[in-house]
Amino acid sequence: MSHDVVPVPEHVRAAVKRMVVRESRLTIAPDQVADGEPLDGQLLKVTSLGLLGMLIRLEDDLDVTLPDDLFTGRQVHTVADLAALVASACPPRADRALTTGGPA
Amino acid sequence: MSPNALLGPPPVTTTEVGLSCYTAAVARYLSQAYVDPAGRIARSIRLAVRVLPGDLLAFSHHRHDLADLGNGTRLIWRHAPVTAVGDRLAAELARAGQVIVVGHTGALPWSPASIEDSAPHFLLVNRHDRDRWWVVDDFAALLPSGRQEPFAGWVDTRTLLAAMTPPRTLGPEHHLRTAYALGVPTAPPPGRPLWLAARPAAPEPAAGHSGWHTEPLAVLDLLADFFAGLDAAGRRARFVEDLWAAAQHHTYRCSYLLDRVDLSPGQRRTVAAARGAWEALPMALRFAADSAARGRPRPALVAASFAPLRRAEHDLITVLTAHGWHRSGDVLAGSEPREKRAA
Repeated sequence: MSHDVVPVPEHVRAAVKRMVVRESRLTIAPDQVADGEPLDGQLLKVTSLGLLGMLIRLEDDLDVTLPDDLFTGRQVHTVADLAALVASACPPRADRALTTGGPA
Repeated sequence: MSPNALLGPPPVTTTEVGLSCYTAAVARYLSQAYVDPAGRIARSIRLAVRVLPGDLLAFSHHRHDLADLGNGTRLIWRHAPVTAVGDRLAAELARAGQVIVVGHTGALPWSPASIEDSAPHFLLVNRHDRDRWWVVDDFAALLPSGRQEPFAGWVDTRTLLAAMTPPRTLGPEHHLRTAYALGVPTAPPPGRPLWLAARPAAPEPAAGHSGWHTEPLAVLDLLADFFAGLDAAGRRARFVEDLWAAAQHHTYRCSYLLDRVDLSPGQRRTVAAARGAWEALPMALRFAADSAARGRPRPALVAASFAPLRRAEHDLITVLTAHGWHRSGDVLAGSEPREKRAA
């Protein structure tokens, strides 16, 4: 099964990195985590149950509903994979574009 | 919970590790009786379900009678008051050299489970020395309360008896799991320390399947409907663990097929696909249960998660049938006569 590649909004990427740092019980700044960092590797220690808890918290924190095919044919190995998965559930953030991208 | 539903496939293993705690202990016990206990377990695996009043489900994971030791003896439930258990276990060890006892996870020093989450857990005991017992627990899994690793070591009598004493928090789902742990229906008395002992007994006649769903696709359809009804009350969520056990068993069966059975390349792809589909299911159901518990039921996610498994199982039936591992209209459980006993 293929899944569409969607651009990852910055707030999603930041929320995911905050979450993986907390889940791995690290004290580093979230922006020190590379997009390609494995979720279960040398730096991050995210178990499958930890990932499950993160998915639920990300739904709540970002007020999104992850897709129904969340668990079919997907492999989530890296921070970028997780961010892309969450981004696929996010509506376009028109409000953010207006407040940060346009003239006052 | 499936260890790597989203993080990737686990290494192939056909050791007892990877089975549910019940079946892991039975597999080790059977290694004294059969040449290929792993094969006996693998060939036995299928999922049968019965719907009971009160929104309860009973699960039978084995189409062969795992209690049958093949030499005119069977594993039979035994029980006693706590004060008599030590002497009775010692006598069983003197007679058979091993015994499966029913412990409870909340009282096991090597389990991360809390008292509140305590659940029945099969342990193999095969040595006794004064006030201590050698306990083997092959079970390994990542649980909501932490990671449980295999254990083999001495346990004192007080600890063993505490583990065998059923907590008051056990629910009907726990009793049903124990009752059908060997595939065939049994009736362990609730509320007392239990163990399985080998006793002379005639083979059980094949149990009929009245009221049981045994056809793989019908079972999956029933379960998809059942878990689509997960709600905030959580009554159905308690059976997610049974699906976790089923996934462990089916993954084990697929791994055995890939490792030990001569399959064509196409058959290998079919079996590998089924293994992947089973691995993904428990995590999806846990997510659906957690979502429902916080007021966000996800029936479409449940349906989407069962759909690929149903397709994979549909294809797998052809492979299983070709190798004599499946036949339509199966009974609930019967003996497997072709087994070779260990010397």
